[in-house]
Amino acid sequence: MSWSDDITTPTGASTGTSLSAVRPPMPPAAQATGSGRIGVVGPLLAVLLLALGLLLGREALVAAGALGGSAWLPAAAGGLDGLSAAWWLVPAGLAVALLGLWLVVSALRPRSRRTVPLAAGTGVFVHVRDLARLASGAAREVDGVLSASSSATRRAVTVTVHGTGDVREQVSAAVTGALAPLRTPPRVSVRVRTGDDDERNEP
Amino acid sequence: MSRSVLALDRLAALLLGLVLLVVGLAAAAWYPGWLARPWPGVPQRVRTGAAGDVLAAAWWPWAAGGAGVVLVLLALWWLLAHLPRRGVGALALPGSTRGARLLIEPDGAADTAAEVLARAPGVRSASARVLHERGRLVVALKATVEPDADLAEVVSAADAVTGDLAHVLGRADARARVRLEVARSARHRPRAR
Repeated sequence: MSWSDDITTPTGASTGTSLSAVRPPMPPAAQATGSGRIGVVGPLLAVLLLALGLLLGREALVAAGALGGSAWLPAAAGGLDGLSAAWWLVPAGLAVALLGLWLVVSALRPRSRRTVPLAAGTGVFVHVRDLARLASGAAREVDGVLSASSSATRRAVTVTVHGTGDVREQVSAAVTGALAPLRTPPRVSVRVRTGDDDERNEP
Repeated sequence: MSRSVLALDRLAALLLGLVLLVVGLAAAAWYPGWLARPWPGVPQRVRTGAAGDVLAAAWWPWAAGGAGVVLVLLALWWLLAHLPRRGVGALALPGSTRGARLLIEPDGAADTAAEVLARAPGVRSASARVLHERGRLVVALKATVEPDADLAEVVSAADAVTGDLAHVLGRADARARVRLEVARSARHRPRAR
């Protein structure tokens, strides 16, 4: 089935041809958010819980005589019995506390929002990383630019170009134009390196 | 991953983190004697006699076995809950009656929308999924665009495609999210400088 086929919908209307832009766009869905660090920590905790369940199951089978070997929990309890304060507890305790702090921070950290919306009728989003690629792509189109690389945040894009001359204005205009369809276009800054700079930087 | 699973992840991480933080700080403060300030009756040695009694009790194997089974089932559910959401099934269309239901497989319509979007200038490829998200029907389109694509053109193509899709699905509650990914390098095309 092709979108451009004349499809009759249940409402009796024809879908018409593609990309007509006559119909209002579908309302936007909420911006997707990344789960961040907790997206990794959660499954890891689930695996730890699984290991704990398996350990308890093993202890039960060993204690009931259904499984050979010795029980681990009584041995661990026996090993801890009589333990007194020792110097190594200071670094070990601090390491455990730091791990706990990391878990607390991971739990309370807000979800990551790494996409930015475009000015569209429907919900169109682009990842911050891809903003840098778009900026580099626009910069490479400028006459006199030999190569371009970029870094981006949600609010700013920095483009570094190697050029045959001072192409700052042209690159800035090209990148600004390329990113103009964003709902909140980022600040654009351009660094230009010419062949003269490279020669000067050589030892 | 649903919000409730994420909330469970956060709660578990917070609780375990607080426990580790308190236990770790207490262990570190024990040797220099700082633990006696908040806890004057701090013991000189660890005593695990009570735990040994529990582990030797006749009911222990049953309790450990039961708890182990519960924890394994809970952990498996928790792990599976992290798997990506599956798509939605057939949707009822407007005009359906009790005797004659009109159904549409939304994935087919969404795939067609993706194919059309992929033909737009500057778009290299596109794919689509239909999900239930926070009680709404969401069409999630993903399009890979060229690094030198004209975003305005891509946006207008996305608006048009989702408009057509909304018309085909006939669902007022449908929402769309188009995620643009930018290809690392442009395809080689004839060009002149």
